[in-house]
Amino acid sequence: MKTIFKQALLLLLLALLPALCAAVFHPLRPGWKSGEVTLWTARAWVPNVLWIDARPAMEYRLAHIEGAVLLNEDGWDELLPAVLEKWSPEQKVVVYCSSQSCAASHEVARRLREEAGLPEVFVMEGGWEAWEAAE
Amino acid sequence: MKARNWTGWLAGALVGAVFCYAGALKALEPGSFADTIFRFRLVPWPVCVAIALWLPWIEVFTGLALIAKKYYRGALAIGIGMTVLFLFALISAMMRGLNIDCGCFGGENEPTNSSGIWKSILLDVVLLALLAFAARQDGRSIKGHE
Repeated sequence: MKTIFKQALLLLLLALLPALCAAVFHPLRPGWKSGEVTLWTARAWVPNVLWIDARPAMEYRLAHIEGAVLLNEDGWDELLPAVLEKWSPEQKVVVYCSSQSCAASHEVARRLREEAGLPEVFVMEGGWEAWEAAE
Repeated sequence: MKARNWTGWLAGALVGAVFCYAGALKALEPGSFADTIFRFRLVPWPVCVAIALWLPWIEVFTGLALIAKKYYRGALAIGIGMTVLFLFALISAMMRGLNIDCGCFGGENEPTNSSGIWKSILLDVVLLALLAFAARQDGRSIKGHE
């Protein structure tokens, strides 16, 4: 019994090493906060992704991810119909705002889930800042 | 190698190959696998992330150990434990009417019907039976030596 336990523990510890590496370096690793995805995970979902830009309209007009639709809290009621029109059930929705520290994307994602009833809504880690850095 | 040892190893190696394949596919896309686990609504998101990062590698190492017959009994114990856990998750999802993909071999998280879940349950039952057989043969061969 002791041997079984020792062997099992050793295998679990061996598996922990690549798991820890994946947690830090894997490009498609999941985010630790609920519903967050990395830029690379979201990119891997293309073309089945609907990008939602949760930044202020002025920033959206300056530059945005190709195909992204504007939806922020200020213009929620006016902007939401365009989002729903563009969304199709096979698409995952990925919301982004300016940077890692902004909260707008989380709030928009929550409202899309709870109020608009969309099933697969995620927030992109790092937001627009991460996208620009990767480009 | 005695026939008893040989058949026991073959059963374990078959399961090992399935574990290696399934683990490798999931290790390639831990993000999608975390989503799949989350859909079972059994554990909170951070736990899903930890499982999505660790479990595929446990499958791979357990699979390799079963094939190579190294740390064999430990691998058999982990294999049986994992398969029982998978069965529990699948049966609980089915009983709660969750229309989800099992995520056994990675995948795109497409919703599935009840026959899809039944197939996954059947696969797990077969794996569990093979592991139990391998463990039994291993136990017998030890007794034979005594």
